[in-house]
Amino acid sequence: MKVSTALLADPLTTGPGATIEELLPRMVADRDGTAAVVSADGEFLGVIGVTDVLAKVVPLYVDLKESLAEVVHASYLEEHLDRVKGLKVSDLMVSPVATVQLEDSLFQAAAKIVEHGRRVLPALDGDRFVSFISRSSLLAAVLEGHK
Amino acid sequence: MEPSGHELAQAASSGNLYWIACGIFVLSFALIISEKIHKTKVALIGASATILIGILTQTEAFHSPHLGVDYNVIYLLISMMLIVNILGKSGAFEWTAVKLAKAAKGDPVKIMVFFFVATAVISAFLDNVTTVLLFAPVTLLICDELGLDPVPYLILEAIGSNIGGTATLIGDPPNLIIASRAGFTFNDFIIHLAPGIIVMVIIFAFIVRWLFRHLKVDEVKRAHVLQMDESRLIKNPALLKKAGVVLTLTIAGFIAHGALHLEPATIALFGAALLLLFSGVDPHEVLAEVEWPTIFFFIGLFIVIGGIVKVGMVSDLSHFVIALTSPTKDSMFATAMVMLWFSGFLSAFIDNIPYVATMAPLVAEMAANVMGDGATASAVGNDVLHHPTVLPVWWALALGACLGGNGTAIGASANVVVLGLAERAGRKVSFLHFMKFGFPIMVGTLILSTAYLWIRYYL
Repeated sequence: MKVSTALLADPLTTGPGATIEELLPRMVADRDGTAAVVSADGEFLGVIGVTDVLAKVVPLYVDLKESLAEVVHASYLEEHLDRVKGLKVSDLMVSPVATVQLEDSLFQAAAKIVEHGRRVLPALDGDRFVSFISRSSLLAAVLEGHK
Repeated sequence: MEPSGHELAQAASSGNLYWIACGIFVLSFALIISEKIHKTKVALIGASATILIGILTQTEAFHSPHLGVDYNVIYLLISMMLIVNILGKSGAFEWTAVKLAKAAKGDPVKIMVFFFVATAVISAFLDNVTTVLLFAPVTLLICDELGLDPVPYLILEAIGSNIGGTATLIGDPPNLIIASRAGFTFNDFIIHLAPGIIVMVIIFAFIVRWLFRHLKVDEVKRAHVLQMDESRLIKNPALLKKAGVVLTLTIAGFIAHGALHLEPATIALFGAALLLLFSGVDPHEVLAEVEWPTIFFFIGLFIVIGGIVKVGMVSDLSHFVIALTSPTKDSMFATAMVMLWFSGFLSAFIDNIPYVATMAPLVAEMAANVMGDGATASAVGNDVLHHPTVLPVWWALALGACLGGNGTAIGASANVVVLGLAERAGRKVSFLHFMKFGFPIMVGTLILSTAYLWIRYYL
């Protein structure tokens, strides 16, 4: 079974020049919270997810020592999220990122999902973004094919 | 009588070995300084070559106290790394740093001074790099909450750790090497170096307070710091108690090790073993965090240096130093001063560990030569190496090699680590920017060291 049988409907996409403030409400409303970043002519550039936005807000010292999150003042997240909103998608997007092709097998996709620890993988047709394949949609396709 | 063919062949062979050993040493040193190849790889290749070519025998490399791996240093390093790794898991360092920031009432200048002094004190007992690594996250947090540039804080912590680490036998690896080569005890360093270092820390704490006197933050930001609950940073109170007890016992053991006729390595190994036993920490986990590249770097380095000791290059260098500085049985003042300033400036640019590993046997050879009327270092005892005439030269080497590391961004591992963290935090610090802080402080500490040595041993 191929990746093309397990794609998500209505994937979220955005351009590199969009601001985080514009994109954030759409990402929060999306089930997987991840958008594909595509150029004006549809070329796949990267992905951006809510985790990437949070990673920009959460400071390095919490990365270094998680326990420090317990002593940071209460309104830190709100204050710093405001600072991130003005940034562009291109500032935070992840690129390069693991992808799959439509013709790849579901096993290949599963292996990449596990190896890279991502909830969703961009599925491409050459260098054009088509949709995402998620852990759930992959397993759903396998179970459906099993019936 | 003419030498036999066999004797000529032996002489030629030993002459060849001399130059090969020198070549291995010079090439290894150059590669280590250039950083083109990782220093651990260089040291291990150099050590392997030293043994394979026959400069040292396997027995000499692995078992000789004068020529081979110094296992006192190796086990002391590993054991202290284990103790610090386990202690670090308790949250003790983060708790200490936040407590200090609150004691300073969120005042940015007081925090800077407190952190500078704290890293100096802690580094006297724990590894410099570990100290700054453990303080850096909280420093970044405090500066973030106060809206301050963390760079001066981080740089001063690295500098403080380099100064404080000079005070004790266990504070900095060069001191470990000197102690092992010269037979100094923990208390020798406390008696001879610690007073001078304490004075330096106090003087520079006042200078830092004056230099940054204009730093101010508003009350809202100060409140963020004052409201921090540092008790939440202690993740494992039981572990903290056990680690604290073991560390205290270990330091007490260091103080008593001379009287107990035990090496510091034995004390540290026992402390690490106790902590492993009672902490319940998985040995795999904590042993995986030991800096094995550093340990193997030391192992390789000792063998390479042993090679040049055996072939006589160190002895030849010691004759050069004697010719240059004219030490006598009554005074080695010029030797001490040259040692201090040469070590200081060189250590600002090159790794002080291979430098001290080379200089320690050189000082021993020089002492034996002058005080022992041409004897070699292996033929004299501590009565020669610890003679009042020789002592200032040892301390000059320790002071110069340790304090010189403050001079540049690459002078000490702690400097490299904090600058790496600063860059990750989005604050890249240039080589020159660091030197603006570090070089004057380095020169200042060398001037103070000169005064200290002169007042202590020559006035």
